[in-house]
Amino acid sequence: MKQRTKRILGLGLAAVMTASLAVGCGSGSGGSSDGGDSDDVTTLTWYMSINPVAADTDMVIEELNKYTREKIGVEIDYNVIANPDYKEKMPNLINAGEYFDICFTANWTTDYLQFVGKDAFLDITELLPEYAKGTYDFIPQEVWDTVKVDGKIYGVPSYKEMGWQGGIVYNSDLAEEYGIDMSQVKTIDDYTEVLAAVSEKSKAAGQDVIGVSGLVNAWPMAAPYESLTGNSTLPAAAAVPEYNNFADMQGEDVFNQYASEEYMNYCKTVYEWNQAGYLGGDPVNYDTDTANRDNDFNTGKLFSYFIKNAPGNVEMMSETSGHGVGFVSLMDPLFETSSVLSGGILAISSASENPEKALEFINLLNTDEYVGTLIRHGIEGTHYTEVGENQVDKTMGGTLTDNGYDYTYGWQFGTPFNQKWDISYPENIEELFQEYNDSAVISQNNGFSFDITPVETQVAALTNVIAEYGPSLETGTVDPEEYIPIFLDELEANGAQELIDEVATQLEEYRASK
Amino acid sequence: MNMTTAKPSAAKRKKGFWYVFKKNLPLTIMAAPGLIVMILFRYLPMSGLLLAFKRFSVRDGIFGSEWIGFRNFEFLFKTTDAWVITRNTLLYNGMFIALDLVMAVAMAIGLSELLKKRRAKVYQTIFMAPYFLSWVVVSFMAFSMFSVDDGLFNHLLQYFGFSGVDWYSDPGKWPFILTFFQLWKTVGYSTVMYLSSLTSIPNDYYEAAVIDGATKWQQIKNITLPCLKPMMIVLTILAIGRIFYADFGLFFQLPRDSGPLYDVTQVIDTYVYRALKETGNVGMASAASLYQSVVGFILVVGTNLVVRKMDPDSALF
Amino acid sequence: MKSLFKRNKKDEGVAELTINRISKKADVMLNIWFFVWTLLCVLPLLLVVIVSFSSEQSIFENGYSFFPSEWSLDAYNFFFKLGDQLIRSYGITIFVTVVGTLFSLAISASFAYVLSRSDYAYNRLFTLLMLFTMLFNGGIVATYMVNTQLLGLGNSVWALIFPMSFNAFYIVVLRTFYKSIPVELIEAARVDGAGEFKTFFRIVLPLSKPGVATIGLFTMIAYWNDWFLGMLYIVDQEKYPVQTLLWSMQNSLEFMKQSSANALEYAEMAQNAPTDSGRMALTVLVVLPILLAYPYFQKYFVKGLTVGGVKG
Repeated sequence: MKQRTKRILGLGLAAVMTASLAVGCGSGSGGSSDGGDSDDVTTLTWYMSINPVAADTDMVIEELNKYTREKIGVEIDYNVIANPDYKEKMPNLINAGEYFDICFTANWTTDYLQFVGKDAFLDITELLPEYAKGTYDFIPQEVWDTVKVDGKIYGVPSYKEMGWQGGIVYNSDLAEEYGIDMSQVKTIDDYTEVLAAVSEKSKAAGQDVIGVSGLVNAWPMAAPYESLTGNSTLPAAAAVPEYNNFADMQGEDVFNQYASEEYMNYCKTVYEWNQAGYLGGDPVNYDTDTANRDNDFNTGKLFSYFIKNAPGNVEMMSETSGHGVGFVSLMDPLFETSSVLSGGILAISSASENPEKALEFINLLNTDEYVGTLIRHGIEGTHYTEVGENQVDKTMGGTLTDNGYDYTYGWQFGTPFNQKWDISYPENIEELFQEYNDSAVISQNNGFSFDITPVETQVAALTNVIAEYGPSLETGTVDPEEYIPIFLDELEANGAQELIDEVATQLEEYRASK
Repeated sequence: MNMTTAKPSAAKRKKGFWYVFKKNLPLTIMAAPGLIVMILFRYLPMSGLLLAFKRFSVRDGIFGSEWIGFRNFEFLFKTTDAWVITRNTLLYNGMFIALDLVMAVAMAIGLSELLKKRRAKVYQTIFMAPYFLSWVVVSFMAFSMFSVDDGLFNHLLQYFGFSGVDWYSDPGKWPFILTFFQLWKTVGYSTVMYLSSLTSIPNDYYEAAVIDGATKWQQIKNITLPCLKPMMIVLTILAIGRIFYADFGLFFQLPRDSGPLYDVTQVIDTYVYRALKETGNVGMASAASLYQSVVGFILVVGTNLVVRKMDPDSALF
Repeated sequence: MKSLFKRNKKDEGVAELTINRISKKADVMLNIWFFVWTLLCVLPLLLVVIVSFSSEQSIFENGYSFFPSEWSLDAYNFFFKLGDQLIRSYGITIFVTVVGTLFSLAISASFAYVLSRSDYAYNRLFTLLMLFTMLFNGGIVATYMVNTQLLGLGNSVWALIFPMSFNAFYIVVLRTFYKSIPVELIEAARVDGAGEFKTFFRIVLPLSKPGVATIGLFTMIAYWNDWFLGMLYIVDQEKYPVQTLLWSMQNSLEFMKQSSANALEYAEMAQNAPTDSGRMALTVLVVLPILLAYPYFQKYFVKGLTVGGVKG
C-alpha cells in the first residue's frame, strides 16, 4: 500500500502522472532509451538482499538515479534488506501480492524455483534478447540454461564463478612443520595418511591438533554427482562421466546416491577417522559452530577443513588467518543447475507494470561498468579511489576508515565482472575466474530443472529422514555398516523410489523436448 | 438481572430479536471494540484456511488458486514417522500440562505462605527470569553443559572418575532434559497466574476456618484449592487446546537438531519445519496448522463436555 | 474480622496474631526449596551477563564460564555502534509496548467482562467465536495479506500493535477472574441504580486488580519481547523496534560466519566480531529493562497486600 503511494507520489513529482501512466507501460525501448526526457521517468520498485545494509545507501541510490534517469528513464525505489531479514520478509511480501518490479532470489533466501512455481515471476524469455541484449550475450548459454523452468527463463542469474569445487583448505605452516606433502592428496582416501601424520606429530609436540572438520559438506566432494532435484541431499543423482565414479550405478540415469558403494566407502573412511580421534570429540556440533571452527583454524588447533572453493579464496584466507593457507582440490569444478540457483538471480514480478524497463535496468547492472561499480563500491571520491584501470581502493589509500558503503562482495548486484575489483584481490582475479570457469565440468543434464510438485509429500518425509541419518553418517559419528542399511530402508519406506521414478520421467521428457 | 434471567426464553419468544438486542445493548457496546478487533485481525485472515486445500499461486491469490482436495495433508500421514511424531507431541505436552499445573499451584501456595512477604516478592521475580531467555540462548547454555569435549557435566563426570557421556546422541536422557527445561522456563509464568488468583480469595474464609480450628493443610485442601479450581480448569482446558502444538524452540534448538535423538525429539512442529524448509509450500503449512487446530478443537470440546458434566460452573462454554 | 490479618501484617511480633501462619520449620523447608529453584533461575541469567562481558577469545578458549580469562565490552560496542538507531528503536519498542498494552487491556478487559456475565444474551455466541480464534488461525499468508493490503498496516508501527492486541487466552483468564466476583455485588449495584458502565468501572474493575494486572504484565511482556512482527511488517530498518533490530544484527553476523563455506563471501569484519558474547549482550539489552519493570506489577500479586475480600 505504502509502496504504491510512494511510487505514485514519485510520478506526481515529475508532474506527468497521467502521461507516464499512459505511456510508461507500452512505450518500450524505442521511446525511452534515447532518454534524457524527464517526462518519461518510470519508477521501479526493487527489493534487494545484501548484508549488512550500508549506511550511505540513500546517497548512492540518488547518484544511481541521476544516471539511470538520463540513460534509460528509470528511477529506482530501492528497498534493501539485510540477508537474514530478507529471508523472513520477502517470501511473505511476495505471497501476499505486494507490488514490486525486481527482486533478488536464490535458493538460500527467497527460493527461485519455489516462486516460479507459485507464478510470482514473469517469463522473460522473449523480452531478454530485446531489452537486455548485452546481458543476454554476455552470460554463457549454460548459465541461462540453469534458470530455465520448462524451457522458460524467469530471472537474470548472477554470472560469477561457474559451479563449485570441493577441496580442503589447510594450514600450510603446520603442514611444513610436520613435513607433510599435501600435493600427494588427490582423494579423500589419500587424506587418511595426512590425518595420521598430523595426529602423531602434533601429539609428539604436546598439542592435540584436530585433523579436519567441515565434514557436513564433504560427501558430495568425495564422489561428485549431479543433483537432479537441485538439492544435493535428496536421493536423486546422476553420474558425471568426467569424474569416473558410481560404477555400480552404471546404466541408471537417476539413482539413489546413498545406496552406492561410494557412499559406503566414504562413510567408512570418516568413521575410521572419527574412531582414530582425528575429528575432535563431537564432529556434528563442531561443524555447526563455524565461529569456533575458524578461530581454531587461525590459532592452529585445527589443521584443515572441507570447503567449496572459489578463485581468490586462499589468498584472502592467508591474509586473515595469520598463517599460510593451502588448498587441495578434490575435483574439478562442477557446474550444474543448482550452482546458479544457489548464487543469486534478479527476477521480475509477474505483476510488474514495467517489465521492459526493469530488464533495461538489470542490463545496466550487468553491462554498464559505471552502474556496476557504483552499486557495489559507492561513489568515487567518497567511498573509494580508483587504482589503475580496473581496481578501486576502498580505504582510499588508508585515509578512509569508516566506509559508509562497503560491501565485501558484489555478485548479488549482478556480476562481479562488471564491477571494478578492490585492491585486496589479486590483480589477475578475472583471469583466475576465467581459468576456473574454463576448467568447470558441465554436468550432462545441465538445464534440467525438476518440478517437485508431484512428489512434494515424499520430499517432505524424505527430508526428515535425511536430516535424521545423513549428518551422523557423513561425519563418522555412527557405524555405517550398521546404519546405512537402516537409512536405506527408511528412505525406501518414505518414497525414495517414487521420487527417483518421477525425476527419471521428467528427465526423459526434458531430453525429448531438447 | 433478575428480570432478565427470570424467564428469558419466554421473553425472547415474546419480544423477539429487537427486544433482546436492546436489552443487552449496553453490554454489547462494551464488547464492541473487542469484537471489531477480533473480526479484523482474527476472522478476516481465516480465509487462509482455504489454502490447506489449494495449490497456492501468487498470481491467482487465495480464492483463485486451484483446489486440490486433501493432497496437502498427505505428508503428515504418509511418513513412517507419523506415529513417533504424534506420540511425542501428545505425551510431552500432556506431561508438561500436568507437571506445570502441579508445580505452579504448589509454588503459588508456597509463596503466599512464606513468613517474610518481601522474600516472596524476590523469589517471584526471579522465577520469571527463565521465561525471558529465548530458546536459542538457552540452547547455547545447555550446550556449554552437555558438550562432549568441553561440557561442564562431562568435566565433572571425568573429575569423579566416570567416563564422559555423549549427550547429544543418547536418546534415553532427553525426555528428562526436555521436561526439565520446559518446566524451568514456564513454571514461573504459571505461578504468577495462580498467585494473582490466590489474592482474590476472601480472607474471611480463612479467618472462619481458623476459628473452627482448621490446620493449614485443611485450609489448603478445603479453601485454597477449591477457590483456585476455576482457574486450574480454565488454564488446563486452554492448554489442552494447544496440546498438538509443540514448542519448536524446545524440541529443535535445545537438542541442536541432533539426528540420533529424533526418536525422542521429533514432534509435529519440527517435522513440518524440516519438511517444508525446502519447498516452502504454503498449502502444506496451512494443512499442518489446520490439522493441529482440529485435534485441539476436538480435545477442547471433549474436555469441556466432561467438565460440564462434573462441574457446570467451571466449564468454558 | 478481617482486621485480624491486617494487623498481622503490620505487627509481626505479636504472638496471638500469628495464629494462621505456617510453622517456622515449614517456612525453612519452603525457603530451601525456593532457594534451590532460585539458583536454577539466577545462575543461567548471571552466566548470560558474564558471557556478554567476556572477550570472544576467552569464550573460544574456556567455553562459557563464570570466570572468564578476559573481560571485554566488544559485544556491547557492537550494538552501541548503532547509536541513534538503537535509541530510536528503544523508543519505538516503548511506544508499542505502552500503547499496545493499554489498547489491548482496554478491549480485553471490557470484552472479557461481558463474556463473564451469564445473563448476557449473546454470551455463548461470542465466547465460542472467541475460543475459535484461539484454536484456528488463517496462517501467515492470509494474515499478512489482510494486514498489509486490506488494512494498510504495512511498514507502520500499528502493524506491531493491532495484530497482537486480541488474545483469546488472556480474555478467558480475565473472564475467570471476573467470575470469582460475587454476583450479589453486581446486583447490588444495579439496585442502587448504577448502569452497566458504572458497575464495570466502579465495582468490577477495582475488585479485579490482580487479574487485570497479571494480564497487563503478560501483555506487556509479549509486546516487549516481540521481534517477529517487526521482522515481518517493517521494511525500513529505521523503523525497527529494538528486538527486531538486535535480532537482525546478530543474525547478520552469524549469517556472514556461516556463509564462509564460500570464502569469497567471507568478510574480514566478521572475523573477530562478537558472535557468542553478542548473543548474550543482546539478551541482556532485551531482558534487563523488562525485568526491572517487573517489580512494579508485583504489589498486586502477593497475598495480603490487596483488598482481598468483599465487604458485606
